[in-house]
Amino acid sequence: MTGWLTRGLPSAGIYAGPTAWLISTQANYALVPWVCANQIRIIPLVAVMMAAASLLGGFLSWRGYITAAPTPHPDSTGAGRPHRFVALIGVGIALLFTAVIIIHGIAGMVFHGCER
Amino acid sequence: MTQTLAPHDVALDAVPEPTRLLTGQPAGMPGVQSEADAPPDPRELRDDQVDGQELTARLARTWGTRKGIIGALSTVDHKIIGRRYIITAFIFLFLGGLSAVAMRMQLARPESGLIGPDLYNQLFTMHGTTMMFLFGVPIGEAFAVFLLPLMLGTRNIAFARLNAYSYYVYLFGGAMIWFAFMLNIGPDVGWFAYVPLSGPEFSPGKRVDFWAQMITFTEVAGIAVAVQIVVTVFKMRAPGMTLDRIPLFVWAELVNAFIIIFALPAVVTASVMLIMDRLVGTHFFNPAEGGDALLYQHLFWFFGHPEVYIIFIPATGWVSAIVVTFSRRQAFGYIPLVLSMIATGFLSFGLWVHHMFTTGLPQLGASFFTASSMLIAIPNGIQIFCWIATLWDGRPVFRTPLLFVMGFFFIFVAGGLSGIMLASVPIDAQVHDTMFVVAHFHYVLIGGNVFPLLGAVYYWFPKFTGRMMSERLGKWHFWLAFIGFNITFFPMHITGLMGMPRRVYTYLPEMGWGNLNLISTLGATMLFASFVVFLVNVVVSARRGALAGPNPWDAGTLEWATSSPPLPQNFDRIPVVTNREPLWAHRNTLPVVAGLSVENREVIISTATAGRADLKESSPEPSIWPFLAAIATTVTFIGSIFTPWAIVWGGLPTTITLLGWFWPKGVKEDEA
Repeated sequence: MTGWLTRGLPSAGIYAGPTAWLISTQANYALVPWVCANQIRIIPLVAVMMAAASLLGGFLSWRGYITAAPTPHPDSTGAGRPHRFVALIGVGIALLFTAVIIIHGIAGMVFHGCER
Repeated sequence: MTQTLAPHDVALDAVPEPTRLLTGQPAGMPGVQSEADAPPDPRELRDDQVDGQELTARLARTWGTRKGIIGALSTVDHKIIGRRYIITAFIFLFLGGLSAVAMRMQLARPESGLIGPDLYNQLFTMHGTTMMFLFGVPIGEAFAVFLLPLMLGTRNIAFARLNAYSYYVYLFGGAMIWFAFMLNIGPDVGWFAYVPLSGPEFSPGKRVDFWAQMITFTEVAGIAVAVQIVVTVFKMRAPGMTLDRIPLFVWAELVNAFIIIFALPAVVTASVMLIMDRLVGTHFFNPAEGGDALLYQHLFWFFGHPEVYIIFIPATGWVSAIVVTFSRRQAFGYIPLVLSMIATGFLSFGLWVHHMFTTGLPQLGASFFTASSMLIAIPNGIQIFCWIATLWDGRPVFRTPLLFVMGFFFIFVAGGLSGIMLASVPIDAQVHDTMFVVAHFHYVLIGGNVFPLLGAVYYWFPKFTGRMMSERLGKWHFWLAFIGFNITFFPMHITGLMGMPRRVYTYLPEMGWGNLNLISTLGATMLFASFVVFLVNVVVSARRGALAGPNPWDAGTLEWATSSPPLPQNFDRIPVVTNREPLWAHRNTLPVVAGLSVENREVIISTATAGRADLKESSPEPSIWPFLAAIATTVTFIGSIFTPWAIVWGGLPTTITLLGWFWPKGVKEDEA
């Protein structure tokens, strides 16, 4: 685990962001009747946890990017370094899905769950 | 694996591969050996021992398709199967289009008696079913089947016999439902076949069964091709084609294949449960017996919304290829473009409930899907801006393919804007099931798929046939299609806001929808005329068009490195990739790898990330068994419409044909 945090994992954001968003969507959707019945606003809490998971994936991708070997040198189109490429995609996807998850959480603050 | 490969010089790695394959020197990590490290058999002729015309002729003989009907039905050449796939998908596009024209004729004036309600129900069902299942899904895969091995620098698609099988299954499934329609037993319950309307109580007879079984056919074919695409992209790339050198078109097809693999099983599940409710008395969707009608909608739309992106994402590949070539510069924002494709692929699975906003779901639950529906506009917007930036910073050449891309920008963005309106629950509830929704999704689907597709046909037609299409007819085609499309579908926004529902075969004059409907029908006539021009252009150009040569557009990707049309072996020697646009980087001589067999069908298997040559693997010989297996599958599927015992008895011929297909015969190369 410590090794992951220091060396990073280039593809982590690609998996962590969408997985966290999937859990957020499914869990929040399933929790709606419970929220309505108990009037406990748990959805923002779920969203915060899932956003953190997504951001962790993005962080690992970022670490993977900055600790990547300086070689090989890119070709004239900037390509030829697939690990850096995957890491950048991972960071971007983690950020995008974090945004979606946060908006799920905001919905949980606006609605009380019983509206039809 | 990822970590251990990182220190290696990936850019330089492409260079030693030819030497390694030629000499049989070990490669890869110390202590890690593979089959590719075995020294070549000295008795076997390899492509470093012959050259020029002799090499071309020998490889063409090894990779060619035999003459005659058996040879044609046995072929495993991805180009031949891809061409059949494309032509078949276009035939279904034309059939779907003709059914739309018939509907527009009926709706041109109020209380028209041209088409009765029963036929009208069949027409809109056949139109939607054909466009979504028989055209929308297969056309993207069809282009992938033809182009991917060429763009990746390999000689055939992975699982080449499965490719042949999937085409025949698709063809037979599509033919089945259209024969049923011609016999007046076509489905009449909409392309989604909601229960309880499609259940045994409200739809007796066989109409719905044909629909449900057609789903099974097309999904089997669709998933099979998607698996081939994924394996081809990950494992059969030319040496040196790292993940970040993969052409954008290939990325689009890869993402599309993953969506297909995860989305299509949901609709197969729905259609099989529907068939079981109808034929063997289960009650999955019957609330009276503890079933759930809404479960069907969830299953259907869990497929149905990703389906929109299955239709759209290949188009992003076509647009990317055309924009780059005609801008004369590499893509602006390659990484954001790939990122957007992947993000769109994931997000497409979290939007399905926005098709069910009026089913009484809690507002809080619906809001999660509103959020995802609105935020999917971010990756789509990024793509649009990247393409515009590529054009802005390049030296655009406005040939017909680029004109269609320009039309795509305008129409798709307009459709996206009305899509954001529909993602809002209150607006959606107001216009649900009205012509506004019809206008929206035709802007998205025709703008997002058909316009780029037509551009793609003009772009790759020289590669398919060796001849150029007429630019003059192409421009006529574009302007007729662009103007005709907008005249047809823009007024539908207004008729929808005026309250005109979808799927009604006529309306009263007092409703005041007559004039707008007449305008839509006139536009549809113009759109129809544009396709006539297109068809004429295709037929005439295929016979008498100017000869194209290997690279008529001066494009940068590998499919343009080979002859037009390509020879059976695609390339005499497998190219080595050192740049994202290999033909622009090596304008005179493309580096190649040597050492593959000339007498046997041999391909290079490469590593997924770095694209290092890893193995030499055999590619399947032609075989009649996939065709026979497809016939046995067809008999089983169609028989099961009439009796569930067909699954049992049909299992026998299916098993025999599959045994024939898979029976170990030894590989020619091993026996040599």
